[in-house]
Amino acid sequence: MNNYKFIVEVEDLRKTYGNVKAVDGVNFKIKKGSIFTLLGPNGAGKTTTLEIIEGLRIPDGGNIKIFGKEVKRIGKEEKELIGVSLQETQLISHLTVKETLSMFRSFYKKGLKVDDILEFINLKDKAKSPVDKLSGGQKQRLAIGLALVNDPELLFLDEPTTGLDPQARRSIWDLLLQLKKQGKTIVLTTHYMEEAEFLADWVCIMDYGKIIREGTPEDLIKSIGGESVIEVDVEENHSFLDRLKELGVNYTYNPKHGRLLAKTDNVLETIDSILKTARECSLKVRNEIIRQPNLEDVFLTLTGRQLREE
Amino acid sequence: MIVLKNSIYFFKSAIREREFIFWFIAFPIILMVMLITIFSSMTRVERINFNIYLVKNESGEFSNMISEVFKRISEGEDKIFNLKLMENISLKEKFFDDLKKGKTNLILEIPEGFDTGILSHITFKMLGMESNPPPIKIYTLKYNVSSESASMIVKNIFDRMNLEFVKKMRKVNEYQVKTEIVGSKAGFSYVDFIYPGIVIVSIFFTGLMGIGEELSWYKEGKILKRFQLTPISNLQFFLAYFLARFYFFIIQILAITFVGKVIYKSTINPLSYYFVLYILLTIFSLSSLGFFVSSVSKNTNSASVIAQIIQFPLQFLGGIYFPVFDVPWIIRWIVIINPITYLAAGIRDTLGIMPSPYPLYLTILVPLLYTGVFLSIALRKYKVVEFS
Repeated sequence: MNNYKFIVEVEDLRKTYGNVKAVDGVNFKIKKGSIFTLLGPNGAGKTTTLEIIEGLRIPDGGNIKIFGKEVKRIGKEEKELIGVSLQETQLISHLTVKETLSMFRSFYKKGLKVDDILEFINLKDKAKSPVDKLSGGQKQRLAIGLALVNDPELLFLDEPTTGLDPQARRSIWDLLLQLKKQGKTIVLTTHYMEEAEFLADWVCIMDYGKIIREGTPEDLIKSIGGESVIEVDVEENHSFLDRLKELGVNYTYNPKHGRLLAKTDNVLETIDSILKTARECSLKVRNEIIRQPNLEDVFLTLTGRQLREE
Repeated sequence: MIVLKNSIYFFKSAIREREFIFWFIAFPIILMVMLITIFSSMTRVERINFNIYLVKNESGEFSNMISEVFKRISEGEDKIFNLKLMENISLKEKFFDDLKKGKTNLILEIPEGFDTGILSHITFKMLGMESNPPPIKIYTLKYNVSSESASMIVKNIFDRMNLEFVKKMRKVNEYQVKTEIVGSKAGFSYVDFIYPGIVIVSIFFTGLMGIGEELSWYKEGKILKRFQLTPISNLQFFLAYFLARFYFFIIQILAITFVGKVIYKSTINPLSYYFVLYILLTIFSLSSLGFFVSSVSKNTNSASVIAQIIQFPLQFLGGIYFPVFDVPWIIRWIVIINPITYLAAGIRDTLGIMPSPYPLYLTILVPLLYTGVFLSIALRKYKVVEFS
């Protein structure tokens, strides 16, 4: 069972609900010991893809190979080796943190000591607290702890930081990097591009049930071209936008937010063109930002939409 | 082992919830105390007398005999009627007003020519000819319990008089009934009557809401999904969950029994072998109803609605609080198909409180049938569902 390079291999995975193709021919391979990220907006099909691999949903078509073994739906043997943290964390009320971990630990043949997990997820002082008294970040850490009770080789974490404040999010990232150091393979879904950029070894960008691009975060960012991105707020004006195009400015415009994004290798020349053209069209330019391109720009370039637009 | 261990966690979770304790332990006890307080006075023995008017417009032998009978049973401490005898008077509107106003419960009229009519009837009968006896008129108030009860007693008196009359006219064999007392039971006690009802109500509530609604919440909150991701099987999960509720049922029954036996001095014997077995059947039956509700509902709200829809007719038309044999035909079908009807009758029978009006096999088979149907639907639903 250990003689494999890819811990998960998915080929032409399909799942339809009525007329909606939730997963539409998805292919990917996950390297052992890596952090693999499915990045995409809400409804892109990330969770459905993950839940098919986890055995919660039955696919309409496609092949899944997990731990080197081809499966239709994972069984008890595979469940002993995986850990899952679901998108929303509801737990049995009125049990304490320690009781909840002990309960889930009892489902597995082998695993970690509950006290060690409490220490790792930094909830030792909350061991006797009822789970419904935990904060959002603490609940999420407990959810990761529950995914770790059997000391799994493969971890599935579905949007583990959604709804958390930046500090709590950061503490989850630290946990995940420690797990990676321990040699665990982590499959992560997120719609936060900074999370994918920070954590992922490999990113698959999903939209409407399909993988539209994949690679390392660096390669994906490089693929859209441009060393810098200039962002400005400006009113929608067709002659202004047409004139920019004529001047060769590589931009996308979001009319909903009135925000213009331009990729460039020559910041000074591009910003000069934008400001001059705006003046000619009697438009005011505000909130100018010059930054490095990121995965959000990759998604915007590929789909014309922003990741969190919906 | 895994089932046993996890049943303790589920039990801990339930027992720590205040609402759970209130609705499934405190509430049945409060209900029991309230019902006993309100209805136990109904068991006090009080003598009832009916007011009747006897209008006698005939003075022959037969009519005198009838009036004499009514006079005698309207005398002394054990009298049944408060009789007002009026002779040779025509029925007036005032008498009917008295009947309507409840001043009298019944008017009995021996009409003029009654004795002549009786004599003619006897003569024709002796000659082998067809004849109708002359009528005695009884006036009652429809749908008035006192009036209808008085009417039943009067009819019984006439039946007895007819029998005596026939015995005198012909040779009639009279059978002697030998009576042997084989045991005795204390008088009717409302505490004894309500105890099994409260036990059923508490199991019913726990099954419907403690299992049905909570499992729906587990489904809605994706807790079931979380369990599905682990190597524990569905069967192990549901067994552990049921076992946790089973501990709870035992606590409920012990608490209700304590109140019934210690505070209200009930005569029931909860350690009876038949009672214990029947309680197990009740627990399985009503728990399966809870599993069924959770399996067919999409979320907690829909489970709650389904539970309410099921709860009211089953609870109030199951003979828990009062007998339901004589309910109007329009709702009688609910009584007939209601598993609670058979459980309530069966449980009272096993405790020796009241013999079941239904055959023994029905009090066992009907709950078993429901258990089978509910469980098979629930298992099927939980097997095919993709928890979303």
